[in-house]
Amino acid sequence: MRQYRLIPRRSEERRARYRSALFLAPSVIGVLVFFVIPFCVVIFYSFVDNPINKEFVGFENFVRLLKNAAFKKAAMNTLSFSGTAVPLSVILSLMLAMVLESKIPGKSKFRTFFLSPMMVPVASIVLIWQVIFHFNGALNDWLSVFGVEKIDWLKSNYSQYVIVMLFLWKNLGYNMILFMAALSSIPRDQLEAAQIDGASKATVFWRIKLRYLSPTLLFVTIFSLINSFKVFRETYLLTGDYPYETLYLLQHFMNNTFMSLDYQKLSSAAMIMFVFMVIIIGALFFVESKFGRDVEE
Amino acid sequence: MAGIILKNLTKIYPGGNKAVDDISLEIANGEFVVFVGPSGCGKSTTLRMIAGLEECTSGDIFIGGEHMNGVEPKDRDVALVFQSYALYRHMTVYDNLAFTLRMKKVNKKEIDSRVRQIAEMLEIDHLLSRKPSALSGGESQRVALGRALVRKRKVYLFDEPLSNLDAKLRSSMRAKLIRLHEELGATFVYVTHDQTEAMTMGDRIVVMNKGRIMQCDPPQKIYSHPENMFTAGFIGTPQINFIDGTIPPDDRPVKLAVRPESLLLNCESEDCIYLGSGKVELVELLGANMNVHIDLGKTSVVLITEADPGIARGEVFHVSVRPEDVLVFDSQTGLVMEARSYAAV
Repeated sequence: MRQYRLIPRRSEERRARYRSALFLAPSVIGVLVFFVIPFCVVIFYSFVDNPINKEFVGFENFVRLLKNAAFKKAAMNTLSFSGTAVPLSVILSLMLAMVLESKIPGKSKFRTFFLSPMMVPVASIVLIWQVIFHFNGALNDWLSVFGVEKIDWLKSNYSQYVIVMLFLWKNLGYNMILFMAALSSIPRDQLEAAQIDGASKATVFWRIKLRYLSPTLLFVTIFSLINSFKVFRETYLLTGDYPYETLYLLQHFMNNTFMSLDYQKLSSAAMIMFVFMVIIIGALFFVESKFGRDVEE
Repeated sequence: MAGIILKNLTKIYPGGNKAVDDISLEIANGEFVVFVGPSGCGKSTTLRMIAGLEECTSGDIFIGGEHMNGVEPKDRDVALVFQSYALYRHMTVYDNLAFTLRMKKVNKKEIDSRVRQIAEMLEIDHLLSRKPSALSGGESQRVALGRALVRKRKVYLFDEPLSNLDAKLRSSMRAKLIRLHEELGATFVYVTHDQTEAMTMGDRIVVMNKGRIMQCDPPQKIYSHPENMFTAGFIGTPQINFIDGTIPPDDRPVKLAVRPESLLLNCESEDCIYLGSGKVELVELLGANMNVHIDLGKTSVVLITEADPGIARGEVFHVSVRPEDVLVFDSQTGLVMEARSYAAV
């Protein structure tokens, strides 16, 4: 009688392992080459005196960096920009999603309208914003009709607000779609039960909806935070290496440090930013795990 | 507590689907009315319109004499138990029960005493600190019931609240709900597609089909004197037997309807009307009784009889019925007819 093996042979198992490793390899290699190895190099550089001597100097680079006025300025500007743009982006997109969720005519047109900035290439965005906010641009032209004096929007204290507006214009639509999806997945019967129980619209929002939105809130916040750092692209193209002081972001600082080949300063700044981001995202995850624990399926 | 009046109530959804079609009904204060019908017949929509969760397209709703059209659900003073229970997942059982009282700004001491009282009554006092995810189906159902009962309301609405429970639990919850209704003396409106629930619980049953009320009467009357073929066919398990027949003088075609328990096997009495003979197709033993399916040639009938090992598949029986047990329906309109003589064909 023929014997059947129920347990796979070792060579088969090994082959299966090799096969899966082969499929994973491109991603693993990509992450290693472009993220893990450079990150290890950054850690290394932040603790040595220079790339040639490579003498361990402890936290000296960090101490020097924290005393650097340009770094402090860039860090404060970045903090102020992200601290304004991220909450505004989250709150406004949630508000828009709630408005579009209610029964209003022309919903799909509004959705397309708010999503359209995502389709515009960076170069075009920069061009449009230059046309609008240039000293001799459209906004000043329009304001002059009302007798308002010309303002150099990108070289004044208004510059950060202009970039915040650009950031919101570009990101609100996507965040709004995420919130709309989250709102539509809230169990309808619980909202109805709350209505029957006598809850006002505000109570339903704060006590029920917000709990169900918390995983999306976390995602949108992290996503917006990451995007707030990416706004450097537009800022750089609009204002160059050394913009008006309120627009001098950490990325400007890092870019300029890189250009001057000061790897120690650059690495230390990257490390500080990394630690800061880990703390913020960790805190967000902690809050979400407490807040949204029972509502996730 | 209050009665409910529905006047020419219609609900047409966007797209033209008429869920409720011009229904009128008066529910007395303290009455237990059960809406029953197949899926999509409009019973849940009617309940939701009473609760204020759906706007009616036309018609009027009165609760306790007050016109309720356009009134927010929270201002209607009704409670609703959902089929899915709709418990707030992020709140404990205590908070679920207390939520409605907090919304009414009842003081903390009163909330605590009401919650504990209702929890004790529904035997869920040991679950107060648990979250809904840690409850069984039966426990969740009782919490949902508690949430509806914790605050005194004019009307209590139930949307198929027992449909997710197993048969045993459903039976005990049925009894509990009947007792609760007697204790509270409040107006209960209950929606179900389960005719056993309808027959056992309601003071009156409202049978609905395609958005219309087919009949609204006490359970016994619905069962023994259905006004139309739909009600006759919908109420009763196994289903009532429909046999083609005619009535004099012009041999007009009619449908004769006989309940399974009214059919007789090999009846020798002269009073019995002979319906036909046929082979037993299937025997379903139900313990003390059995359902016997007999093929009469043109039609098949089901009858209920006492369990008898002598009745087996393939055997031939004469099937008859007593004249007073036959209902006659107009084949075209489906409405019940007063017919003194008829013949099966």
